[in-house]
Amino acid sequence: MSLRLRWLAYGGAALLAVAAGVGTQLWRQSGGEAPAAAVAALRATRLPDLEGTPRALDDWRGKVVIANYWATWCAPCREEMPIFVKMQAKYGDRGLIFVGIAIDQRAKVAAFAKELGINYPILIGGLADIEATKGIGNTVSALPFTLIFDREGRLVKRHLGGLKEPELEAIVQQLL
Amino acid sequence: MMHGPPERRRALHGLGALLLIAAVPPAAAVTDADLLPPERAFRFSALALDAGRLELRYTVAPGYYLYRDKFRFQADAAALGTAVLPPGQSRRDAFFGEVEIYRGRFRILLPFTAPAGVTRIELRVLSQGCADVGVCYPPYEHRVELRVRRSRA
Repeated sequence: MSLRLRWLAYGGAALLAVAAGVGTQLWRQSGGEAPAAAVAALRATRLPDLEGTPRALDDWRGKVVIANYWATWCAPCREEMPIFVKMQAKYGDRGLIFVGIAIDQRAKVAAFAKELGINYPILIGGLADIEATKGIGNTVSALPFTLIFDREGRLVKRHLGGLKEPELEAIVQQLL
Repeated sequence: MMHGPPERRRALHGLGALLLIAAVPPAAAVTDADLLPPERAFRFSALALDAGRLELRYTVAPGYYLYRDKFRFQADAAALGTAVLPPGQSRRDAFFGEVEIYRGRFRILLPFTAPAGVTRIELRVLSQGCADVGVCYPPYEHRVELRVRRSRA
């Protein structure tokens, strides 16, 4: 193999590796390939809201649903929630619905929801519910974890960590 | 130093530029691939020092921390005393105010009394921590079975 060919081969291999890395990164963030069965199970899971009524994400089919796993003991979760309140007020009548899934105790959640003026449904989950997100990419079961579904109920994005307003707004405007 | 023909240098420069682009993540999002599972972020071991004291050892991975006030201890077959927690680092939290956290290595001393005849204690330790990148882990329970040392009379 000539020297030039060898360099080309190295370059090609490096490019493939880079492409694979970027691809994996994008796949992880896009959520497009999450196992359909795990997503369907999660959407069908019924959890009590603050009034005790069992609700599932499937109840809001036809809307753009943003499911946010959070807890009162999670500072990065609390930090991003005012953005959700603002966007729910701004886009709610156009078909956007945030659904908070709190991995926490009902009394603490209710007090915090009142304090922050949360204007979207909050469901009370347990450790098993955050564990269940392992199947759709949150392999370390950390919070905050956010899933964005289009009006047909397809998972279009999953996001681990806090969301920034411009990023979220761009996605929402695209889906509404 | 590079002495190759110009076209190879150009190709290498192009490759370098691509690698640089790839090194910049497409968004500031955290991916789960960047994070350790809680049992590796917060390594734990425990032993009975003597007939009345347990020692819990933690090694917190760099970039992670545990809250000092979130520890809870439970044991079967033994009564636990008040845990001796070392002072933590102070952290100003936008929501929780001044809190104490642990990073790196630290030890907790846990007094206990076990009835005569008890040779093993199952200890459950609940802790809660976060990663500096901006995610937190749900309360995590470490379970360990400890052999009780009986001091010689």
